[in-house]
This record gives sequence, structure tokens and C-alpha cells, in this order.
Amino acid sequence: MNITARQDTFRMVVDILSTLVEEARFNFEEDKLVIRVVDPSHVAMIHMEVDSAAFESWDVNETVLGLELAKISKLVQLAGAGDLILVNYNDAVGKVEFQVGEIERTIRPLDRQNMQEPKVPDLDTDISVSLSGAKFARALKAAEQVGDLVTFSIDQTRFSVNVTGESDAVNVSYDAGELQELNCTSPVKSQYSLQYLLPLAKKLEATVDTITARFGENYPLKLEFEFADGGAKVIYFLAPRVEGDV
Amino acid sequence: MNGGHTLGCNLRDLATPHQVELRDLSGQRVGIDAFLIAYQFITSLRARGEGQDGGPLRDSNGHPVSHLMGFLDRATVMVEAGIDPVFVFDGRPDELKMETLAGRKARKVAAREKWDEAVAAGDWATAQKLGSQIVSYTPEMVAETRRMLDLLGIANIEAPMEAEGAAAVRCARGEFSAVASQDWDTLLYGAPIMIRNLTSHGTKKFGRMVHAERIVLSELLENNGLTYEQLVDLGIMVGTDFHPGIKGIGPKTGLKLIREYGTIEEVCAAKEKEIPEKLEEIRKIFLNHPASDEPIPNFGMCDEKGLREMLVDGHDFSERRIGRALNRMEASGRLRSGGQTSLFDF
Repeated sequence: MNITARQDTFRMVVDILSTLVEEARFNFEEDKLVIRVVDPSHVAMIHMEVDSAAFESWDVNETVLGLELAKISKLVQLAGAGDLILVNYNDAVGKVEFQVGEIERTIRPLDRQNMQEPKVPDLDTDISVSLSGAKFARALKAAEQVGDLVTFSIDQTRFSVNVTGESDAVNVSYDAGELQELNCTSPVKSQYSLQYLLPLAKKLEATVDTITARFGENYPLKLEFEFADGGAKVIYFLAPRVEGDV
Repeated sequence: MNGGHTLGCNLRDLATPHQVELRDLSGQRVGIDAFLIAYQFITSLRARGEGQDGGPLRDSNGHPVSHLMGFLDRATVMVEAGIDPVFVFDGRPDELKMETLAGRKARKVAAREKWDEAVAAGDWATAQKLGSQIVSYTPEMVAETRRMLDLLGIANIEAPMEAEGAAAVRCARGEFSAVASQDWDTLLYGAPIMIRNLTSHGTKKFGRMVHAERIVLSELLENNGLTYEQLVDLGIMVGTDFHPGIKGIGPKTGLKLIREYGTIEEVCAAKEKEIPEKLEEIRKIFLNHPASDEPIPNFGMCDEKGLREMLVDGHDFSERRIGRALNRMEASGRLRSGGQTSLFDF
């Protein structure tokens, strides 16, 4: 296997996964990279597909590599956005070689057979809202000032993000006109943990033009977005918090 | 299984143990020989206070709870360290082990008689000394342990025969990164990597800190100039659960002889010893030990409500004890609280 990626693309892949897990199984398929990870408590999941066209070069026989994200993250940070990252893997050698400029780094892949490949949950909702990564991140940063849990509510005219604490409260509302899209037939709300959402939102703030959020009443949140000029598609799933014990 | 007497065959002199920290095993699935550690718990967690009989710790209904306390504590410590433990319980012993087991039982009955006498006479010091010899890990206690592990969301399986044997086979297949056992037989069953003291890591024994250690089979074979088959023959000569071994041959002599002559048959021919009875059968137990092809269940989430019902309501566990265990599970993402749902609830 031999691929070349732009640093910003590769970094985004690693950064997004790192918000949820420490290691991931990279499935290099014939014409795309597929990664699916779930956190140990099954609260959140990421399904990511990066088309071979999003890479500068792509020469792949199907390969599965378990990689420790922190190691790659540190390496990738040594390069600039436009730099190229070469990744080479030879079955016979059993090691992944990264080349970043003058740096050559060898990483032994993790033994991934114990690693679960989660099933993507089958969620059904026709309520959705689309907004920029910047708006999404700003609303969640405001929410963080008040509490750990954020409530998303939506009706036919607006989408709101709010937190009501013991003494403080915060509300961020966007009218349909301020949003890229809003589809809602009946009002719903649902609560989610910022511990999951905020690290992700911060990664998307400056890099993603459109995030589509789908949810329902006390229902999982499904965030869809793209990067690398549409070459990389991500779906982020997050289970809700509900009142009382589950 | 037994706490006090020789366990399997002692290969310590041949091994080069490497100290490991629990975090070194983070992210690894480790098969754990459950019976051995159960005996560690029930022999160490005993009623040894003033005027107590040295038996297992009991709840207010007189029900033994040492095994549950031990497993709860050590299993959650492992999970907190990022280890994915899979507890393996013994199945039906091989016929050849019956003699060993009968011997252990006879010793237990004899100890029990002395213990009864001591208790009747109010001789608590003697009773407490004998306590470790009279405790048993009964099928009922096994069932309770497995139920508790289920509630913790920790995988546990029953071996067709020997727990360390099945775990070793699965480890050789790549299903476990290592087998945790105190029993050196684990290596005879072909475990590529064995961890000793995993469950007692960080505790004190005779005033010294116990450290987990890794023993690598290939390294042991290479350092001693043995093939795996020769190691098994050496083990059989020295004595295993299935045969007392050849009289007059200890680990050192045995190693020298097997290196010189290659097999038990040749050693016996050269030294005019009698070849152990049923040698082929015994070899087969080690070289070809049964293990199921069933996949190992994945770990699940901890059921706090069920665990509290079983341990706090059912067996008088203190809030401190259960709280400590639940905190460890929560810290490792194995317990959801505060109304957090899972994606798979939908």
C-alpha cells in the first residue's frame, strides 16, 4: 500500500477521530479509506469515508491497519497544511512508514483483531438543520459556559441551543433565514453531552462550511459534514441524555 | 486447583520473567485463569480478627463473600487500567487428574476435622491457621462469581476442561494477548505469553510488593535450548496434575536429561527408569488441549442497578466498596450514568 495525502486532509482525519478514541482501524479499500469507531461506552460513533480522489496518490490493495492516533497526530503536526504525507505499508515488513518532508517515521500497527467494528445504528428522523461549522461551534462554546449538557430544540421557524443551569442560563437561537436549511414538521428537543460535542465542534469551526444535524425527541443526534472538498464524508452519531436513569 | 500445594510443574528456574505494569497491558484482551485467583481470594480474605474462626468472610446471612469481594476489586482494577479481561473457568477435569484431585480432597477433609476440633475448643489461633486449608470454591460460588461478572459487563467463559489450557490454546490462536495464571502448566499448554501475579499486582505479600511479570514461551525455549515438545516432556518428568512425575527427577536434572536425550522415552531408557503410564495421553492433554471455537463474547456495559441489588442488598457490601468499583467502571467508559443513553438503545 502506498498513498500520499495533503497534511490538512490527513490531519483532519486524525483530529476528528481523536475527539472520540485513542486508536482506530483504518480500512484501506480499493477506492476509499473507511474508518468506523465507537467510544467504549457506546455513546458516540464516527463513520468516515475518504474517497481515493481526496488523496494525492493512491495505490492500495485492501489493507487494514490499527493505528494509535496520538502518534500520527504528533507526526502530522510537524508539517504544514500544504505539505505531503507519504504512507507506505508492506505486509512482509509489517510496519507502516510515514514520510513527512525530511522526516521518516516507522510505526508498528496495533494488533487489531480484538478491536470491534461497530454496527452503524439505523436511525430514522426527517428533522434536520444545516448551518456552518462556525455557527455550530459558537453556540456550543456559549453553552459550555453554563453547563455540561446542552439542549437542542427545533420547530418550523427556528433552531435553538440552550443550557439552563442552577443560576445561569444561555440560549443561542437561529431563525430559519439565518440557517442554510431547516426541515421540521413538529417541534422536538433532545439533550446531549458537551463532553462529546464540543471537542468535535472546535475541530470543525474553521474547516467545515456545512454541518447537517438530524435529531428527534430524546433521540440520537446525527451530524453529517464533509471536508477535503467533499472528498471526505463523516457521520457522527451521539446518543442523547434523558431525564432520570436509563 | 489448590492454593497451598505445588501447582502444576514448577518452571520458575527456566523462565526469565519481565516485570510489567498494568498499563503495559492496556488495550489488550487477557485470558484469566479464574480458579487460581478465586483461591487467592478465598484463602487471603478470611475472618482473622479476635475470636474469629479463620473461615471465609461472610455476609449477615452467613453466606461466604470473599470470592465476590476479591473478583469485584481486582477485575475493576484491571478494567480501569484499560485491560479487557476475560475470565476462564474450569470445565470437567480429565480422568487422569482425578488422583490429584482426590489427594487434595483428602487433605482438605483432614484439615477440616482439625479445624472443627479447634473451633469446638475455642482455639481460635489454630482455627485461623487452618482456615486457608478448609475453604472451597464451590460450584455455587462459581455461579455467583460469573453472575457478578455478567453484571459488570466483563466477559467470562467456561473451558471444556482446564481453564489455563483453553486460555493457552486461545492465546496461541491470537484470541488473547496473554494468559494470566499462576500455574506454570500454562506454558506447557502452549501459551505464547503468560502473565503471573496479574491479579495480585500492587498488593503486599510477606511485606514485599507483588509485581506482575511476563514470561514469553519462545524466549524460555530458546534460552534453555528446548523445543516446545521437549518442554512438555520435561514438565511430565518433573510432575504435573496428571502424573506425579518420575521419581528423583527435579527441574534441574530434568532439563539436563531432556537436553541430552531428547524425549522421555530416551531418558528412561538411558537412566533405566519406568516410562510414565499413559504417557501419550498426558502429552496429548498438553499438546492438543481442547478449547471451544465459540468466539469470545465482547465486554458490555456495567449494570449498576443489578450489581447493587446483588451485592449491597443481597450480600451487605458497603457503599465504599461498591462505589469504588463503580467509579473504576465509569472512569473506563464501562458505566453510563446521569441518564446518558447508548446508541444501541435506539
